Amino acid sequence: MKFIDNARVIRNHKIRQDIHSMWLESPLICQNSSPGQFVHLRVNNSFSPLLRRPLSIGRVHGNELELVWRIVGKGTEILAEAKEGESVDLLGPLGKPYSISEHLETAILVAGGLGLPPLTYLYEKLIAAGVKTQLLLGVLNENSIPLSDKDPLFGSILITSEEGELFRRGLVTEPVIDSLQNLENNGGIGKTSLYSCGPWGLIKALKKIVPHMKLLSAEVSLEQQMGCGIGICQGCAVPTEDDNDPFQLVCKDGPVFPLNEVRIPDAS
Amino acid sequence: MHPELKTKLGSLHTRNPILTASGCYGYGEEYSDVADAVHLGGIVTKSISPVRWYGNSPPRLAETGTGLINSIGLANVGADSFKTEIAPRLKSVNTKIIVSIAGKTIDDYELVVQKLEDANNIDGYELNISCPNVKEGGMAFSQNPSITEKLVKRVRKLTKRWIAAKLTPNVTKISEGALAAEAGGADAVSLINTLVGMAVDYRSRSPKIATITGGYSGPPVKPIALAKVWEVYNAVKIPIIGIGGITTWQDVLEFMIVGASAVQIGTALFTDPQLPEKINKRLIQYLEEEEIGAICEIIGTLRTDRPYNLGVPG
Repeated sequence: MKFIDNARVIRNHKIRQDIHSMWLESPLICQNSSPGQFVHLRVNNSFSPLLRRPLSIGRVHGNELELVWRIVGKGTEILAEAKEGESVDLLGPLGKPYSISEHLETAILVAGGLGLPPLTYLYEKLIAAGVKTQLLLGVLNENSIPLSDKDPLFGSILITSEEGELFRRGLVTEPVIDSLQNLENNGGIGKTSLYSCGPWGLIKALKKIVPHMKLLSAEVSLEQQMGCGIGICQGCAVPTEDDNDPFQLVCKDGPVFPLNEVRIPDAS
Repeated sequence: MHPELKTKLGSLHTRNPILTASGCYGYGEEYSDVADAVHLGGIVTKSISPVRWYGNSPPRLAETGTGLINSIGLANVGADSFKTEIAPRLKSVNTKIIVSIAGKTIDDYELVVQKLEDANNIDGYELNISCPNVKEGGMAFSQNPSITEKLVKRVRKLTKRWIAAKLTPNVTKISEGALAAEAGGADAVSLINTLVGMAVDYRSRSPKIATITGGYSGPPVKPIALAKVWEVYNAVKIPIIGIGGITTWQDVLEFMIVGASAVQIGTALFTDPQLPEKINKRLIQYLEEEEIGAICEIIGTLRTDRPYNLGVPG
């Protein structure tokens, strides 16, 4: 079931540079969503910008949900200006969530930059369910961390940074390999799932690492320019590894896909 | 007395003048969680081809200004799946269902009609002869009036159902295509389909969609669509369904004033699937205020003797 809900803005603030976080009150969407799903939102009541913007659902606390975005154009800029008490038109929850197996004992969550929000939602849900969960975040530098250092969750995340000295220097795939190898050595790999959201470069790297491990499952969340958000316009197609069914829709078949079904676009 | 929103498109009568444009409302059911079809005059489905089509390589969409360029390539489930899996369920969709048809050849259009003739819950066909995003057929049919006439005539022979031909604006004189569709036996013409457009990323010097050019839609195309409807209104006798950039109740009135008997809303539905309901409410209010008994009374009432000078832009 999906809804159109005018969600009230509880808090809207800048996390750093051009990254913003907003908490919205939407009992309908909060009570019906799962980690990995997204909302398709209207930044104002006009048709300028023309289309809705898809954003992953971040943390959900009670009837409030978090959205995190980087200002990349007019739509995201307007959204950053929304005031407390105003309402934002949300269509959602949309798409397929991350799947959680009943055999799951350990979860490795791998975020690349702005891919963090849906994994913070998943992290809190898995921790509450008693799953051993590790949240890893790879960023270019400290300015691209989509979470405030004052946030209670900040200390729970293992951050790797390509630049600077504040965090573990390097790529997020390095601690991922370490964790997976440890699990393989202690026999826990078969009850471990890997969940990811991030740029193509990260997905490409994971596709090289993961097939060699006997994981319970490995899933990634994708993004694509989107029209309707519910499978009608067919605009958000991405190529698959299956020649008999060459495209899947990010909005309806995803945004979460099994890692082995995802095909890296030629230009990436 | 409540003003009347009913309109007639020849033999097809609709409860109000707002239909959904092909490709923008799925096969009819997809929006049912958030919008009730009871507010629609009709739904034009995603175009159906004889077999399943997978569509074009991504990226398929580029938002540009307040418009949208798409190159979907008519991805659809195909006539057999539509008939057996989707059409039976459309009984629960409370509005007129017009099935849009696409093909690479005239035979393809005949084949789809033959497959769907005994399917239930279909009130008519719209022949999509104007898609700019397929290599074979598509827009080329509508760009050639003699092919348009031949294609409509051949489909006409196969069905008693209502038929509309959807025309491309990518021609010098759209009225020639409209006259050809009328001569072929179409009950109505729908116009306009998208304009050929292009979006470029200057940094990478690459096109923003994989097919380089695509179909341009959204609010910026409205003035072009109005001009095309006006041209066709002055050429044919069959009813016209106006399409192009509609987002408000005033837009609907403008299309009807220049000669459309009904309209289709397309791109704007992605942003607001409840838009038809909102527009109809405002249309009723307008008709009440103006003491107009029925919306049909405004069709083709453009006063060419009296241009209205708005003065400086507000």
